[in-house]
Amino acid sequence: MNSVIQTKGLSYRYGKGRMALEKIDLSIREGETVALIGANGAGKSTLLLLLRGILDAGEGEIVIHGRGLPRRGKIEALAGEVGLVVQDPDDQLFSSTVFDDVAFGAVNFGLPRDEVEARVKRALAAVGLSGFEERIPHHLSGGEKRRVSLATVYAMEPSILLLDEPTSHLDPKARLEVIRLIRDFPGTRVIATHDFELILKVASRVILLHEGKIAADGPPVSIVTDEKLLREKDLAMPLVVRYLMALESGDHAALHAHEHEHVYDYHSRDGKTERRILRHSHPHAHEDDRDHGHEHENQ
Amino acid sequence: MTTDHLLYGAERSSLHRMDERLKLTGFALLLIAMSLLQTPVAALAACGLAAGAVVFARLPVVLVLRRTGGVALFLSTFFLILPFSHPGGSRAGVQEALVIVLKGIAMVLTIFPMFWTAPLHRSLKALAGLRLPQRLVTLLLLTFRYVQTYEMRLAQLRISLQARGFRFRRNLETLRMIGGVVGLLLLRSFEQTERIYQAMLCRGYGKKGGIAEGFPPVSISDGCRFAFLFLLSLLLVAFDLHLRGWG
Repeated sequence: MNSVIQTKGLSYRYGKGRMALEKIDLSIREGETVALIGANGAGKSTLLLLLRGILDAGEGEIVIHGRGLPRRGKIEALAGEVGLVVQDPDDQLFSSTVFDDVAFGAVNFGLPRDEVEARVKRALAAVGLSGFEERIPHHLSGGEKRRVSLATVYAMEPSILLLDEPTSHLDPKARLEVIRLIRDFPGTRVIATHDFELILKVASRVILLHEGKIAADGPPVSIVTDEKLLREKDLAMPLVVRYLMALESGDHAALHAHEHEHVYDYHSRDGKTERRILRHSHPHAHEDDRDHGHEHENQ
Repeated sequence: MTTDHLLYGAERSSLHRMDERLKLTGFALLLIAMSLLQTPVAALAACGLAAGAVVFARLPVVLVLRRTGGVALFLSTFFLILPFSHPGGSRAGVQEALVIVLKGIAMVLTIFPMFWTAPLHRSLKALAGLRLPQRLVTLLLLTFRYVQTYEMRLAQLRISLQARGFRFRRNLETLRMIGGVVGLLLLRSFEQTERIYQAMLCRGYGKKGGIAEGFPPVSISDGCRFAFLFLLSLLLVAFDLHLRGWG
């Protein structure tokens, strides 16, 4: 398949600070869903802003659909091709009604009124918010705002969708709904996220960024289950992944309450055992110790 | 305060159903006519008309009067100044002050049926329909949108201050804290403005203002309502001219 996004030696520095991104060489094929993971400050959002043309690359080159980005007017030039859903919906939803917000891009394309209305209708139906046209965006719930944010981009019918933390601050139901919507998007997707469930449900490839560099690039399962790699790059494997891995390998894993403690017990078939105390009965136990639980591991 | 237009903008009267472009134009003409009045009787008649429009629009009269009261109180200071400074003497000064106060009240009262009979964003969009530059209308819409957001954020900051034991008092400490909070909000708003502008550019913002106008064609009943407002404006000016002895 063709490469729709390519970067060569892409670097970026905020002001005179440290390098936010350093020599990123990347090629994303058409239809791929790439999850960008990494600790806070690893460069995920910066990479998305560069790909969308909002930031000017200090060094290197970005090629979208085989064309290099122009020196001037990058943001406008990519309007019809690359859609960006930012982390805070209040930055994305700036109009007075949902209709106006979703229509904004289509109106700027100079489309006739009928076509604008049709696109708004389609986009709102796609995110399950038909009938919300006259609602006021900043009065919506967090999940609804996120879905309207997606609709604003869908209405422009881009072939590439960039998403910055699309499931953060959402309740479980809204989160699953947003995951479904992202999965239904027909084009290429690049998602900056910390949400491992989103990655496992949507991504076909994971790029792990660490201190502005690509630390790993590969299939989602191999990266999110590599505990050593994640720990080295300042990430932690979520318990749910650990649990799923145990089930997958036929080992015994259980989560249970023991007196006032919440305990994760693991017994492998070859006799290895591990106990992680998630919630201590002792009120002064250190939070980090509880989280990582390494001192409670027993061989 | 910024949500009043939502509370009363829901359909209640035939003024609510009127096309916003014609409504704004009709009431603007009425406001211009009111500003031209020079006799106390005509100004009083304008007050009556404006009060009638408020009642006709089925707006909450007590709330409207409360909001108008502050303006009336401010305007009444003319009674303290003009009788002593008017070149025509104290009697002419009182008459002049009376005209100013009555005209002011009439105009403020007129603004309520003008803007509270539709959600404000629809009225602002109607300005684009009246061929005001789209960028200006976009700016007004954005201002209106984010004033509400920052109103909410200010309320949140106030709660978070109070939750940490801060009490608003009349002292330097409170003033310093308020200054800090307002500064913080300004700083955040400045940063957010950049992000919003980028989001607008991402969605093709440029030559066009991005406003989907979409007003339906003007109906005959809307035309009649506009003609009525136009006629009232003419009658008001004619009445004032008649009182001033012009024909």
